[in-house]
Amino acid sequence: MTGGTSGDGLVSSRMVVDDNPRDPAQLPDFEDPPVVEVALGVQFRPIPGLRPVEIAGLREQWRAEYPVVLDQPPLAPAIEQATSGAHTTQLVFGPALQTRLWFLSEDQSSLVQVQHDRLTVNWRKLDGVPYPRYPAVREKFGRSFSDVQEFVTDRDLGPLDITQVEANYINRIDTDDEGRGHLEGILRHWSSLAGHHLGDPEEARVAMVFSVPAVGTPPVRLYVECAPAQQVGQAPVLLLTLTVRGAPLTSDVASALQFMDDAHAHIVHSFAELTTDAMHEHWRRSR
Amino acid sequence: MTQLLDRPIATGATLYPQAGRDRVERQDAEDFYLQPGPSAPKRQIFIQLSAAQGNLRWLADHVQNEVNAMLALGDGWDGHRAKPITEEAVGSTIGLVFALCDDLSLPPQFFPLPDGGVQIEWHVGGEAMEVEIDRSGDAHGLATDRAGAVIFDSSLEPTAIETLLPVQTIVRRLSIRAASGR
Repeated sequence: MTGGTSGDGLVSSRMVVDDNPRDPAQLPDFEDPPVVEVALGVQFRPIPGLRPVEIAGLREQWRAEYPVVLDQPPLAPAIEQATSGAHTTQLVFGPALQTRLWFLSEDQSSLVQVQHDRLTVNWRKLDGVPYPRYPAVREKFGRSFSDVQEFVTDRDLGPLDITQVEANYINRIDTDDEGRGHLEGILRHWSSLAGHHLGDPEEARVAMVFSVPAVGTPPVRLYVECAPAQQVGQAPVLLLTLTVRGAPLTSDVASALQFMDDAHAHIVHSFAELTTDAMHEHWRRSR
Repeated sequence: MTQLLDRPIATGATLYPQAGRDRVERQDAEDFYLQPGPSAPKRQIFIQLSAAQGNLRWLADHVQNEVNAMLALGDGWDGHRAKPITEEAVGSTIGLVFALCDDLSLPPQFFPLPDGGVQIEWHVGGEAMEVEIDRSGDAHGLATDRAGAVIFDSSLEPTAIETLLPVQTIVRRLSIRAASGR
C-alpha cells in the first residue's frame, strides 16, 4: 500500500506507517521538496574535557571537508520529559566558557556542530544546492560521530553516552505579507477564518506535539510548527518545522541511527499527511 | 498552550534559529576578567536549564553563585582541617534544591560542612527545615516547628520523589509564610 494524495490520504498514510515505517520504498516522495535544512543530532553526557581548545583539534582532521570554523554560543539541553513540569538540570564541572564550534564546508551547505554535550550534522539549502536526501545526511552524521568518538577516546576524555536523539526538517514555503495569515492553502486541516469579524489574521502560527510510539525509549515526541519567519533583507516565508526528539533504546550510535531512521519516516509521513494536495502538486509529489 | 509553544523545537537549526537560547553569561565575562592568564584549575559549576525552564533561571543563578563560592574553599577553609566540598555533595545539593523548590519558593541558605558536605536551610518565623548532605552525597532532612519540636527527621533521596514530598510541603509552607510576612 502506498501513501495516497487523495482525500483519504491521511488514512492510507497511517496504514503505511503501521505496515513498515522505515521502508524507503513506501515513504511519500517529492521531486522538488521545500526542505531548506535538515539537522540530525545527538546529545550525550557532558564531557567537560571537550573544551573549545580540544574540539579545535578536529579542525585538522576535517579541514578538507570543512575548511571554515566558527564560534557559536552553546545550545541548552533539550530533553524530553515524562511530564511537562519535570526539571532537567545539567551540571558541568569545569571552566565556565563553553562554546559550540561550527565546522562548515566551503559552500557552507554542510555543517557539523560540536559542543561538550552535543553533535549535530546539518545540510542547508544555500545557493540552490539540491537536497542530497536523508541517506546522505545520515551518512555524514555517522562519519562525524565516529570521528568525534575516536577523538574523545584517543584523548581519554570519557565515553560518548548518547542521551537524546533529534531529527529536524525545516521546510520553507514562500509566501507574501498576506499569506502569513492564510495557512489553509498549506495545511490540510486548517480552515479559513473568513467569518471572523476582524477579517483574516495578519499572521497565523500552528504548533502540535505528538507522542511517538515504538521509537527509542519513551517519551519520544514529534513537534510540528508552521510559523511565519523572515530573514533580514529577504521576503517573508512560512516555516514548516518537523522535529522528532527522545532517548534512543541504548546509548550507542547504532541505536541513535535507528532512532533517526524511524524519526525520518514519521517526519516524512507527517509532512505528507499535514500538507494539502495543492502543495503536493507544487512540490511534485511522485509517490 | 504556553508550555507547548515554549518547548524547544528544532534546536540544531541554523538558517532560521529559534530565539531564547541560553547565552554565555555575564558571570563568564567577569570570571575571565578577574582571572586572566594561566591559573590553577578552578572548580566551578554552571547550571544549564532546558529551554522550558526559563522561569527557574533566577534560582539556577542563585544556586550557581552559592555553590561556586563553596567550591572555591580549599583545604582547611575553617582554619582547622576542613575538607574541600566534594562534587558528589554538590550534585546532590543541586538535585535536591531543584526537586524541592519551584519558581515561587524561598531559596535556601547554603553552608559548607567540614567533612566536604553541604547544608541547606530554610528558617521562617522560628520554624526550620535543614538538609545535611555529606561528602558522599547522602542527604538527611530535619525540620522543627516554632516550639523546637521535630516534625520531620528522615533520609532523603534526590531521585526518589516519595522521600521528598514531606520536605516539599514544608518548604512550600515556609515560602508562603515568608512571602506573607508571617
